[in-house]
Amino acid sequence: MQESWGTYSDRVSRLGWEAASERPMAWRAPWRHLDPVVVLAALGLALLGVAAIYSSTFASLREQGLAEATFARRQLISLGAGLAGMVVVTLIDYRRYQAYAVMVFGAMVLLLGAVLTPLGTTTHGAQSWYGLGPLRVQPSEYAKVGMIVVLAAILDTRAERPGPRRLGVALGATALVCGEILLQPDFGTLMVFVAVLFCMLLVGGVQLRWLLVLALVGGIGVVGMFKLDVLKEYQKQRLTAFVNPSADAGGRGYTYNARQALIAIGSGGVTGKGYLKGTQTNLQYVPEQRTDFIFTVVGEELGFAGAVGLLLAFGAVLWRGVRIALIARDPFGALVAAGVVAMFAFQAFVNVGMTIGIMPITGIPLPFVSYGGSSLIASFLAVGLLLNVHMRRYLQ
Amino acid sequence: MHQLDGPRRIRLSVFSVLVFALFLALFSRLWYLQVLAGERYGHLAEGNRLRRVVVDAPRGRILDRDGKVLVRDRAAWAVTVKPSELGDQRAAVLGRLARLLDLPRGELEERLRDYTGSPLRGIPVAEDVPRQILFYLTEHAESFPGVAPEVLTLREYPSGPVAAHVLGYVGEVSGADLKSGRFRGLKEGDLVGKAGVELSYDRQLRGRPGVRDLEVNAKGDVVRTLNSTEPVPGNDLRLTLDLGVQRTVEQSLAAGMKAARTLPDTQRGGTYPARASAAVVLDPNDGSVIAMASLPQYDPRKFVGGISRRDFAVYSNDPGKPLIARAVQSVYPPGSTWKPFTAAAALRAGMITPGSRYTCPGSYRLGNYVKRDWKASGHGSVGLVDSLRESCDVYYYNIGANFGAVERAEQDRGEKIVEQMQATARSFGFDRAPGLDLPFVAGGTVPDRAWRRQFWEDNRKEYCAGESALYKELCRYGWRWQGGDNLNIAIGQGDLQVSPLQLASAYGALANGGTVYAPRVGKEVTAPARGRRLRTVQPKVSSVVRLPPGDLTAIGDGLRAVPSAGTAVSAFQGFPLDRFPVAGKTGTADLPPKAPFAWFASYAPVGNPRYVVVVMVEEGGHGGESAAPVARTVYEKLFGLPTTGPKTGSDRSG
Repeated sequence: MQESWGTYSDRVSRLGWEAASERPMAWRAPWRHLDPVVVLAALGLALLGVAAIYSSTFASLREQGLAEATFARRQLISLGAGLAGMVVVTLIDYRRYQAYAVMVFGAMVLLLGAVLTPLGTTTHGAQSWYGLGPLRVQPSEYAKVGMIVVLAAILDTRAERPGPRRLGVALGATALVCGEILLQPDFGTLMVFVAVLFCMLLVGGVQLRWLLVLALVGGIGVVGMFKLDVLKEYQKQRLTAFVNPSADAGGRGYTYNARQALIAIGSGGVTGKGYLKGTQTNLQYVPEQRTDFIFTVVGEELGFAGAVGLLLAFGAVLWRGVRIALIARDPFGALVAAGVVAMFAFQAFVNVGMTIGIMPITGIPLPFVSYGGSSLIASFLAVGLLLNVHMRRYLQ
Repeated sequence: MHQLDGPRRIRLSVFSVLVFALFLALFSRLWYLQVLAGERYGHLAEGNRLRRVVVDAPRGRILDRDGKVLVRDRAAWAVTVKPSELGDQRAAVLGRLARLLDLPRGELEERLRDYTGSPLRGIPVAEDVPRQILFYLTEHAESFPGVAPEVLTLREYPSGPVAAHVLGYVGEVSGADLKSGRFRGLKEGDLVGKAGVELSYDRQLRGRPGVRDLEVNAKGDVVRTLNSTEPVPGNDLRLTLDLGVQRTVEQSLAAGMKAARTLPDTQRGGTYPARASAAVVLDPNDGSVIAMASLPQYDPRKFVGGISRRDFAVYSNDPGKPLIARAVQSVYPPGSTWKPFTAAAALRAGMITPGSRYTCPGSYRLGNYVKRDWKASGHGSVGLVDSLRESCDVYYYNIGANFGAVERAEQDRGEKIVEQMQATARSFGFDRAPGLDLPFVAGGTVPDRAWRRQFWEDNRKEYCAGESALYKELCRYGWRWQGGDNLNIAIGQGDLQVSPLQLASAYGALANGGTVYAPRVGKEVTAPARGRRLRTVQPKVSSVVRLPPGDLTAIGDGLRAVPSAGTAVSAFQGFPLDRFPVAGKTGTADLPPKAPFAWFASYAPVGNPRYVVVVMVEEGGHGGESAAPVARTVYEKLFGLPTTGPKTGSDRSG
């Protein structure tokens, strides 16, 4: 080992290893290496979400004569399920997932395919979920997590960088899944897959010039989708409205959403209007508030302080995620952690960005916070993956 | 056992920095939105949440002296269009709306184009729309963007278009009005009186709008009312006008003009044009106006809900100028109706007594000028009574010349020149705007030396630029008061100008012994609900003429002889003058090259005068033939006599 200490991240992991080598085996037991920060941050976000969902929905539920906490309670139940799922994911050594990657992939393709058949159900113009009695399962949310595992498995290589064959397999697998999602169609989720793929290729060591070519192809693909009527009219309008808000005459359409969200957040000011006291929220001026626009509740009622608090909580999750990737015992673990970080970062940025007017409106939920069982549970499964990689970094 | 290798670690770090940068972008954007622009968005959120509904206050009614309703408010369901909200669907929406309202598309476009009111309000395109159409519009609101049913309060004229110039009309307050501070506390688009008593009593009639602050949710449902003030309706205004008399006056004026148009104009050929006329009926005992009309007049109903550009252009370009209230806004030479005031000046100066006589030949010579009497053969030797009865011009030329001589003598002695004819005229209320409770009241002119000089100074440039001999003369000597000026004033000609209302109020003073009342059309202001009297408009004395009673009686005797044996005898043929003695004076004012303006000024019944009636027909010929018959019809109405309808008289006096 050289005297040069390299980067900060090198130092962190080396310190860990040097310490570990001198410790007894019992010290290496996974349960001793839980990362409480990431769990607490995720749990905090989820609870904030439940509170925000309550604030956003109690007035209209009361109006309809329903229990005011209906949606908040459902979210709380999903949170319980998510935590349970997280524990289950944690219990199994993550290296076994690498072995099962093919099966995971198969299950994903199957479920995403079946949702397109009459087995699936449609909301907001996308055939994207299964109705199982009172349960609603949105396979694409789980597929995001699954895809991270699959891609990590494909890109894990002892060579310095994955060869063209692995790259081809990674692209092919993603394309297959994306194709299915495009058929729903769910443009937002598709974007998440593309972003996760790109980040994992980057971290996985794929040659930069290939990444450049891929970025180019992706750009052409976006333009092509515009030209070739793959996008639905409303999706195109949303994007054009984002680029040119005045084109959306009358303010009743997509800029209405964007505008009301901006007003809600801006009017929160520094300290917010107080929990349950947001006028934009109570009077239901923000459409889709409990799902995609949940951040507006935080912005309006808790103000800049609350919004920054939420960003800091996400920052904590992401920071721990990057750290876990750096100290992971093998590239597969590192790639899984990087994938999870990419997924959370992309979704949080695009979601918050669209509510504050720096990103176009796409149907991407805010992880942990937005209402929706599948999204919440899948997010905790992803946290489970992070924990898993972290806990087992000293195992032989 | 190996961790991520070096290059991939670097990539992961690069990736982390990228994520950090993205979050920094979110943070700075939030800083801008919530910390820097928070207040602005706070206002926007309030604007979302709060709806201020202004509830218009009903405007007060206007009643005649007996309480008959002349003007009132009514609520009408209208369909309004905001063109700015139509956007690119304009053609489609208007097409749909035209089919729904069963109106031609062109008419809809025209109403939008013609609208002259505030851009903040929707433009009414149809009033009194049936209920089911309104329901349809509400239910299909999404296919009619910018179109809305709205309740409008509209002025309504249950007695028809009568007394338009007195009533005036209502319109949206103009930007200039708002700036002038005349309408404090109003905002653009509010309705105010624009003319007539609607303007002069605007503050009493207007009332105060109510305001309701509502909290509404995104669907537009009202969640709760935050605070509200009820509208305060405007007060009612009772006028001194008598609707019946007013109607008669307007009808007789119209008939009189029509009749005058059949009379041959011997001097200019053809018949008299008689395009316009005015009349005033007032009570000489308190100055209250019983009727006042100016023809042609406008239809106040055209102003309801905002006059269209087209209608307004029609009125503005009409040579008859229907928007002008001639009775109070226009001034004319009074012609021979002026003679009583010349006589009063002479009596007051001791220049004549009622018994003084002048020989009245067919003309009068003053220096190089020859002034002709209207009757070429002359009237022989006449006293005061006969001079009025026969309207002898020469009698008054003599008085004018005598005043001229007195003034010249004063000037020669270097004393202050006392212009006694003018002073007496002013004491009768001429040469100043009468204190009438209507806007835009003209004051007229009683010319004197100071006026002449001022007028000359104002016009000197023009005179001196002119080439003609007359202009050259005027340029040098135009400031000079000349002997002819006194003669002109004496017979009510020249630069002398009075409004019909001024003449009526001065005849009121002749009738009542010398008190000039400020005329008024308002009687009282009452609360809208129970009619409690809030304010009574008191009679106001404007000036008192000091003249011995005997002198006034002498003038009255002369005026009384005019309908029975003088220049108005044919107009009053068959009128029961024994029961209802009328004292009056005809007048024929020359304004060449126009046809003469016909005047008749009068009061009745002599002894206990209750009415003053003044009639003027522009270019209507002689007072006795065109104006006096109209006055006769009005008296028939006032005294409850069977109406004969105005014919023309045959008297062609001056």
